Amino acid sequence: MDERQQLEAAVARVRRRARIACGARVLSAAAFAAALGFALAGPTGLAAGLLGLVLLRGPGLSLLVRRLDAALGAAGAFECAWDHRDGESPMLVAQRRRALALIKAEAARVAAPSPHFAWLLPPLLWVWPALTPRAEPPPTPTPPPGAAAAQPKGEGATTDPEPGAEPRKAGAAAKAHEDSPDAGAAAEAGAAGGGAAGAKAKVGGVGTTAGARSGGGAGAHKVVVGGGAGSVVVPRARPTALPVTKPEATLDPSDPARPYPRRYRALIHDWFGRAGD
Amino acid sequence: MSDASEVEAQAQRLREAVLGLRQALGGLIVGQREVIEGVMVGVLAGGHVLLEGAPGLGKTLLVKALARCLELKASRIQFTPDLMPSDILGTQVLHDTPQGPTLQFEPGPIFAEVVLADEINRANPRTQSALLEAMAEKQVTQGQETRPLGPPFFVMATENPIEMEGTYPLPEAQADRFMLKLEVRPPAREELLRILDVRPEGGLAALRPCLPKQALLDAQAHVAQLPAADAVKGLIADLVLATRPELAPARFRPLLRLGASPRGAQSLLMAARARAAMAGRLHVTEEDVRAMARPVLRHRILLGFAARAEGVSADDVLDAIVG
Repeated sequence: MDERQQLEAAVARVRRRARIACGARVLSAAAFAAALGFALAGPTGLAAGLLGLVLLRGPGLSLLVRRLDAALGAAGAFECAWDHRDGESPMLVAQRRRALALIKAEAARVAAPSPHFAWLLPPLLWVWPALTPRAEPPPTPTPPPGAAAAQPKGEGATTDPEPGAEPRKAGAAAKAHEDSPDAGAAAEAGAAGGGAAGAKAKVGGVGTTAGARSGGGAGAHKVVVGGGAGSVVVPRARPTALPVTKPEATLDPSDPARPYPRRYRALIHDWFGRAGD
Repeated sequence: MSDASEVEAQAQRLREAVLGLRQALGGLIVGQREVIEGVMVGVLAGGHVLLEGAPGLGKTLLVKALARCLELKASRIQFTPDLMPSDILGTQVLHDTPQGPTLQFEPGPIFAEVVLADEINRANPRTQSALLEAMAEKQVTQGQETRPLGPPFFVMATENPIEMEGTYPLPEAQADRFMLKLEVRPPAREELLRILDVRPEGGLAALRPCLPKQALLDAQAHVAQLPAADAVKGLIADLVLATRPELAPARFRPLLRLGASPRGAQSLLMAARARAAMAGRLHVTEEDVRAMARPVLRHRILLGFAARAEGVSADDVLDAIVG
């Protein structure tokens, strides 16, 4: 390999690295622009990705040579040899040899550095959803046989997920059993004279009624505490009684104005007079 | 130079000669490092040098010492207000010969290899213009005959600042023929104390030639072939263009009358080559160009009256351009 070929080989190494780095940046910019455009403007936004291909260009050859010269610490010797690579006079040959003596393998990495790892993030926006496993919605608990009668009509949303609701992960699923926070129902049970058993009875957990969710009036909702002899039928005391048949697994993302568990929906419906869900 | 190895050998010889010359001149001239370097650049680049400074700063001593070190035929022209062009170039003299009276040309002091033109701005412009052809084309035309000068041929001129009485400004055409204009500044206190210990005449007599004539010619040929990258040439072009009134920095545009010429660009490249060769390099760098920009361009920029009124000098303009 003669001196001119050595010069060209050194520049070619840098040029190859620069092209790869530029290509990576272009793809990254295109992915970012496409993701942003798609999120903002749907398929039309994909056209924004083309901007990355147009706007991002790699450094020119003369700039690459200058960078390589700086990386070699040649103080212009390599650049001068490159500009005069076609000359064959003794002076040019001697100058070229001096420049070639300065070439170091690691100079190419300095002249054409690899892109920063941040350039990898935009493409991950497209790849990440495919890589991450989808979370299964928590299993819907089977309502007890007794609770079915106490279900208010039109209530069917007890176990149905809200439209647009995303299931939570199993590990974060709501409690299957829930101690009753309904002190009112327990107090009423106690006031009804149910005795110690009745007083201690709690409304809650699977198997007990979930009939406290009222769409309008409290009406004829009843709670059967216990069972068999000694069971107490307790009318639904308050509209604020909380159903406990279904643990609240997820928030309702379909309505940003309702960042509350589903069990509060009945209460808020009463307050604001909302019609239906 | 037959091959690349000879080029390297020549570069080494040039460096050694420069070191010897620097040592010889530095031993006699106290301080003035930049002036000594500039004079050596002019010698190696084959250009003429103009030294400007107040009287008594050692300008003439420097040129005389240089002539001794170069082992060249030297002559001196003391410019006075009554000096005539024929006193510089020579004249036809009538001689009595056996064949009868004949006119023979008597060469003037310009016919030397190193010409010391002392206080060049004391002569009137008509006399100063007698040097134009000699400096630009290195030849003298008298009547029907053209006689070459050198090689080598240098004009080392000294002048007092224009503010001194009894001086004339150099014609622009003549000023443009000097490759470098070096400003000789008064010495600092430490340098002045060392000057008191120097015996100029004794030191001058003790100088020995350190660069023979043929070695100087080889060095000049070596310097002339030094390559410059395209970016370096682009920088030279940009600097020269920036001295023009229409392309200068906005602040200086109304103050400039004329910018540097293409000869100035060629001189800048040659001076940068000489500087690179003195440093032992085989290529010209942008640093060489920037270092030589002021000595090469300061006397080629013509300022208007507004510049003088505002106290703006050519160096101020070059500081803004060169950085």
